[in-house]
Amino acid sequence: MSTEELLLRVEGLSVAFPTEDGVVRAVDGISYGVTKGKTLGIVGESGSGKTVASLTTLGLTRRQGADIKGRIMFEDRDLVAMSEDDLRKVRGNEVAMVFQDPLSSLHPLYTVGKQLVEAVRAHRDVSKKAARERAIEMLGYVGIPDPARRIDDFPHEFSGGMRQRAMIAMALMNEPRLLIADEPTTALDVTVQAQILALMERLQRELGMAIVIITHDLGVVAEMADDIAVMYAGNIVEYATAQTLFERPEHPYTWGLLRSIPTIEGQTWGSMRERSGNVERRELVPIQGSPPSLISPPSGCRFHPRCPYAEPSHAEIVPLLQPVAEEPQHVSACLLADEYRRRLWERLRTGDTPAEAIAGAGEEAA
Amino acid sequence: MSEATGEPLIEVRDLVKHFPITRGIIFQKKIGAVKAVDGISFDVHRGETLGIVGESGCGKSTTARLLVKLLEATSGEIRFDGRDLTQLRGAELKQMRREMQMIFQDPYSSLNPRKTVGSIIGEPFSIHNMLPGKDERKKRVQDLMEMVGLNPEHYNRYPHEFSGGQRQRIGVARALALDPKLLIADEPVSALDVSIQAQVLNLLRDLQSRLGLTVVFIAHDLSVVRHMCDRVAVMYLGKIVEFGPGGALYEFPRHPYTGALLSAVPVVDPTRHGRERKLLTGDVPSPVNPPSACRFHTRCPKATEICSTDEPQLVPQDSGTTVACHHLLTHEEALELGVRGWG
Repeated sequence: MSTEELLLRVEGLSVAFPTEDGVVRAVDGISYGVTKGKTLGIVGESGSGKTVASLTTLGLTRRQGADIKGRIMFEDRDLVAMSEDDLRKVRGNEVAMVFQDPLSSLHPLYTVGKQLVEAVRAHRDVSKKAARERAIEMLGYVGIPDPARRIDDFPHEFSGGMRQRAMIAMALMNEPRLLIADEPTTALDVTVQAQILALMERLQRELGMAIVIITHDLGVVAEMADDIAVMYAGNIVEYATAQTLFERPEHPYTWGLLRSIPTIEGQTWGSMRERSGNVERRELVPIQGSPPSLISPPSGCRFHPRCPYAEPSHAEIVPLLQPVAEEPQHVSACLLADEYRRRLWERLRTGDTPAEAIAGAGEEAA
Repeated sequence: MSEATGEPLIEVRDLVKHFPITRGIIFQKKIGAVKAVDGISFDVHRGETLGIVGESGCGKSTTARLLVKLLEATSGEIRFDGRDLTQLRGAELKQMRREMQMIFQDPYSSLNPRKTVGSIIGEPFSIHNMLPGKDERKKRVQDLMEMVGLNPEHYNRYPHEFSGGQRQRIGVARALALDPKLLIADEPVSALDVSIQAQVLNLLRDLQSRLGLTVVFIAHDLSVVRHMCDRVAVMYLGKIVEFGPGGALYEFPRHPYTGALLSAVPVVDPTRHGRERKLLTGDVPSPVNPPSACRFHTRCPKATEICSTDEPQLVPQDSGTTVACHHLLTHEEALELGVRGWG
């Protein structure tokens, strides 16, 4: 990917919060890019730093006394170094955000229309009347029925799906070039989730904006994202195109995620490709243990205490994101040898447990 | 999956729960009712896992609470082991409650923060005056902790010292303390992270086969239900619209609502990126004033006039499920929705 196409470049970003118990290193030296008109998915569990990274893009962690290092280049401007006044001109204008819980993101005492009008007038010198017309147009555009009447409703008069549509309408009022959506569908039912995801896809097609979608749901990123970054304990551990990530995942944490989700087809990921044969393993293979504390993260590879393939040296060496052999676009931070890792995945994808995969891959080498 | 015997542990007949809506503070007047559960009938077989799925507001959690009598049914019958629960009172009810336990969604609010884990898990013994000896009780609680994968040495710790997944294990241990026959799990993993979810699901399945439990599993996540359940009931606005073995229901759904639900689930398969989805439009109507006859007709792509005048009854189909619909999905239509289909 050439740098000219990149709308957003995050370079060596670290965000740390001082707390009574110690310094929480929520994001620890991550870099990624968002291509114009494309969708980047950031996947991770709670506490992986995926939300903090995006809030920082909009300067929303500044007030919490966060210690921010690195650069966030939006085209040629650094959002980290920018003054609060300048940043306010970008936020909600060129870069907009949609949050997980639309009920707490909308002000309960103002009508939806008033909040949409304010979103435009904060950035543009337009009359209230023109702004209101724009608001009605946007509400209709995101699929709210009878927008001219519903614009004067309060948020509590909207259903969950409609509130999220209203949030998206608000984010789109100023035609942003980048939309950051943080778990936009987590609080919604599957049928409504499908509607919102389809809406975001349509808006991207028609308006050409780039999207960063942050989620814990691998199904959502598989459907939405062009590129995917997998985060664990404040680091990016794997980065690839969606297709590559699901076909040839390289990091044991990504494997663990894929093997811990049940699929709608009744098999786990590992046995999916075997569905023509008789193999139907229905066991989920969870990742052992739980995500680490970010105040004192594990040494070396942060995933080593939970990784079934970890070797003693992995507690000391910090893995770097490196391109995977023959795949320059695909990077992964793992200390296992490339070839060994591929043998392991070959076995895991056909339904082996980690222990069986280790035994099998070891035999092959011998 | 479990060895279900086909013999019912629970028989539910025409179960109804209406929550009254009242106006006035002193002179309360009933002005309507939320028809949360509106006439459902089903059996739960001994040793099976029955899944209940549906969107929020479809009545699945109300059904769960009715089954353990945390809510009083408006009308209808729930027979547990041959006895009608809705008629039981006092000591008999308390006795019956030992047989049925519940696991809740939120592992943070369902544990008392001021009690140690040992006393939380031991609480059922106090309630039912069992194991009065202190050492005996401690021993039993520690056995339970070990069984659900907690360290028995953490007996004296408080809930805040545990992670979300471990707290859910505490909830499971508490539910199993009295050796119940029936376990009702209401969204037991939806508050947990992906990697932790799988740990708890595996634990539940393992315990079920070891202890021969009957489980009613309620979740909005259709993939999780597919993984866990022998049979599945799909609810919409207080009614069961389709019911049957998991395989048949997921591979060849016959009710348009089941089809729409399955089609809406995001698939972990990037080759299907950007596929055309059949989307349901609109939201679930209000259960205060549900649509007439077939309640799904306002959102159904196949609805015709008969759907708003005649209520469809649950009829068994050759494809394996029992469906309440005038216009069943054909095999071609089901395939178009992206399900696996037959053959």
